[in-house]
Amino acid sequence: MSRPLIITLSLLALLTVPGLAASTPATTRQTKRVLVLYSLDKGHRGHILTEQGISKVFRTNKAFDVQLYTEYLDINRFPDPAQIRSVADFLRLKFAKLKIDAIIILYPPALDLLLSQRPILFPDVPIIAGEVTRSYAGSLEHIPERHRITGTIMGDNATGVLEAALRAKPRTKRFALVAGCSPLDAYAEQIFRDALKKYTGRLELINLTKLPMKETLERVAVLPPDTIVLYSAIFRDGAGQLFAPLDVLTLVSQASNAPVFYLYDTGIDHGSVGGRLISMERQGRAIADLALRVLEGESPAAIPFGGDDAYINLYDWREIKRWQIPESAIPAGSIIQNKPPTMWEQYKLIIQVTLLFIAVLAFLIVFLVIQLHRKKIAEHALKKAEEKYRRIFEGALEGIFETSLQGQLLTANPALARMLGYESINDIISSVKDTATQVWVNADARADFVRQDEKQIIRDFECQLQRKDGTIIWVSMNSQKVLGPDGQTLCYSGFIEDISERKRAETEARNLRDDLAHITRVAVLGELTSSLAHEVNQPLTAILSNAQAALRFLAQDNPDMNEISEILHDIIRDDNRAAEVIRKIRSMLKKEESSFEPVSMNNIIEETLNVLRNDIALISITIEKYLDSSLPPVHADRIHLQQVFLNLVLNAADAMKETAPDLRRLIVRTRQYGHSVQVSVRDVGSGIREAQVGRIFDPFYTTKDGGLGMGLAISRNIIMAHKGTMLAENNPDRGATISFTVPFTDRERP
Amino acid sequence: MATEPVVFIIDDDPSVRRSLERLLKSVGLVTESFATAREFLQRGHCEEPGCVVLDVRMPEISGLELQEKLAKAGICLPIIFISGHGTVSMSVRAMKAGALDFLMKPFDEQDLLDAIQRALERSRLEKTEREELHAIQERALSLSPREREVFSLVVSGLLNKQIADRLNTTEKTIKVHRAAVMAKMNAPTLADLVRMAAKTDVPPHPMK
Repeated sequence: MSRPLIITLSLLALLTVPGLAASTPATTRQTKRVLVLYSLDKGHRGHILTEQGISKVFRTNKAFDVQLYTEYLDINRFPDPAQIRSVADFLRLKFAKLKIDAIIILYPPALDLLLSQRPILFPDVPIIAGEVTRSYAGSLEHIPERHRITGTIMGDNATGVLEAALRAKPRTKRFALVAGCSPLDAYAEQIFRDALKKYTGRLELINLTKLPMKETLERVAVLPPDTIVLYSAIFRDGAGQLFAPLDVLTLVSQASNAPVFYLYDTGIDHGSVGGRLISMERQGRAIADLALRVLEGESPAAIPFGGDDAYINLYDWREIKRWQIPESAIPAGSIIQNKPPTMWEQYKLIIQVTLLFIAVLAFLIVFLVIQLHRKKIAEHALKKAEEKYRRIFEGALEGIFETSLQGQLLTANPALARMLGYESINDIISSVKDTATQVWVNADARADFVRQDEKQIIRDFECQLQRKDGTIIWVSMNSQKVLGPDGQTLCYSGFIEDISERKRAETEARNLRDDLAHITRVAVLGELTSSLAHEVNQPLTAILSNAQAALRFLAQDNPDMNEISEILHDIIRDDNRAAEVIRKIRSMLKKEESSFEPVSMNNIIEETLNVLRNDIALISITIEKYLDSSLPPVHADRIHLQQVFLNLVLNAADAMKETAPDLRRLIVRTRQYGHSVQVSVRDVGSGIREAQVGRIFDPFYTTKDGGLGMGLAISRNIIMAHKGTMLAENNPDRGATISFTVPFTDRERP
Repeated sequence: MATEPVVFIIDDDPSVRRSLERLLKSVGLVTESFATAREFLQRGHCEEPGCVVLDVRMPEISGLELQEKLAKAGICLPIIFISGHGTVSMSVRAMKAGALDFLMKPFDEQDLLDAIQRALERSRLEKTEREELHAIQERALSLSPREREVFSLVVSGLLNKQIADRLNTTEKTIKVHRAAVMAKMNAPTLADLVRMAAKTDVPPHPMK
């Protein structure tokens, strides 16, 4: 078999065995019989606790059932050999027909009985001797029966109890040892005596053993200061009277003027202070565990006496208080019994709820105080803000208004009243009931304004308004809808600025610009005379020659009428052509107010280049056009833009005077640039000298011989009037590019 | 004459071109039209008589530039410039370069037709002269080296005796040579011989 297979099978076995066990019927479970022999009577406190421990272990045993037989031998009270013999007989007869698998005895007397009757009473049954002293266990090591005996030792904690006592009362000078006269009392006394050897010479020992109960109680009441009472046990006092040791402990403790220490946890509640105590219940468990090992087949001879670890640190709070033992003397982790619950322990929930309640209340109070404070601050700020806004409102130079949807003036500031010529705010509010008729001059303008209402905010809306006295002013309005909580429009509010001055200045500037533009236009046309003359002379020449040819043809014998008809058509066409040139020149020479309309930039460029086609300045220049045919119209004055473009082309041509004729190139480009058309004119000429870059748009600045220096200045002025920009820059290789933008018509803007 | 003279019209404006064609056709002239100087140059030219009616201002190659190019190429067609916006400097430049006339548009038909007549006349004349020169040159090539020397010295105005001295020979020998030169050159008189020498590249003999 291979190794992995074995492992697999083993694992399978492991997995299946518990399953089999679980399915095995209860009847097949083995039953072991255990006889428990208690040395004392059923009321002995130590036995009661020990039995609890034993039962607990056996009850929870899984391997097999344990049938318990319990007998209380009460040897202490019936110690006569005849009595003991009869007990032995009783046991022999009682269990004659039962096979006992193990015997547990508690305290040495029961074992003594068994050993004395060994040939006839339970020979060869394994014995677990519980709760015997170390010296007693030692005495068993050398008897032949040891092979079937093991057990647990009890009482090695005497040193621990002494140390605890000294920790509790560090100034102790003497111990008073209280013990009785029974064999069990002797076992117990010996435990203390063994432990006390360590203190011989250092601490005095007051011997209160084997005294009658009465004397014992009298003696412990008058002990000298700094004494500690060590109570081992009194089953029988010096007078031969029998007692329950715990009852004696109670009596001694009550009588004593010094703290009393006892080895067992059973003594708590009976006047023992505490210390590192034997737990009788744990002793029971340790014994039962040992019994299980033996029942499972372990040889008792191979198991040394042990189980000496069933201790707990246990104290009686009442005694601690009674003897004023500092809490620091109690080892950490000790169990303190009879401690009245603290307020916290007793009323934990109520305290917690109350504290929580208080905390919540406190929080609420703090919160409210803060809120109140904030509110105060906010109110103060609000008041300040209101004052501030009122100052702004009243001191503003712009008019501020609110109007209802129907056009009634709701709010006005002093500036608005002044602007519209009213005496006061009250005057304007009470006078103006309908802005449409009382304030607006132009119904169309108002309609336009109301249409824009769809936009949330109307900016820089320029229109004319009527003052109280009927005079008219130009204003710029910024307005917005005031919306209610449901999004409905409540009213309009906004600012009005009186721009009459600006408008006047604008008009003057426009007139001036128109004049200047005209002058420069005339000047440019002057420069173009030869070109224009050519434009007119060409058709005139053709007309004349055609007419003369026609006359000659007519003088012939058989005139070719078709030819003459063709000639006449040509004459008409050439005449129209000449007229068109004249019309163009006239339109450029005319001085008109600029008129803006949607025009095609490409169209303007083509027309202008056509006029220049034969100009002497351009004759040797290759003109390249890259015009974006998809461009929307621009909002512009056609003549002005022609003039600008003409200027740029003539400048470019001028810049290329020194350039070799073969190289002279002029590139005209149009393209979309944001919401504008950008026109650029690029030459390969001398470029702009660095020092001139910033100045070429200045009026009367010229680099040309005989130039007026107004060309670029007026061009830029015109472009700015079109809300466009003009830019001049040198090309990376050679020459310069001058470009300008003109915005699309409103319709094309988003 | 075998070939009719041709008037070449070069103007970039089609209506001007067509009207000129018609006008010249109406007086019975043969025309050929070109929109650009380049087209005209590409046509190639024979020795026929003719003239050019040329617009001064044209794209690419202007009229004045074409004039220079023709002169360099040895094509000696008389040129009549027409211009819509001529300037004085332009016309001076054209005339200096050998233009026959310079007309301002629009021009009277008679001015143009007169100019064309003059041009064709000159063209014919030049053709005759060219042919005559050609004949003289051929005749001069038939002279022997000695006769060439004598020819050169005779047209320099030296007497036979002086020539004989210069060439270290007798006056008689010179007389024979001189008679041969007169005969070969088909020159009836000394004056004719001198005129021929002026037309050919026979140089007067350098004086020592």
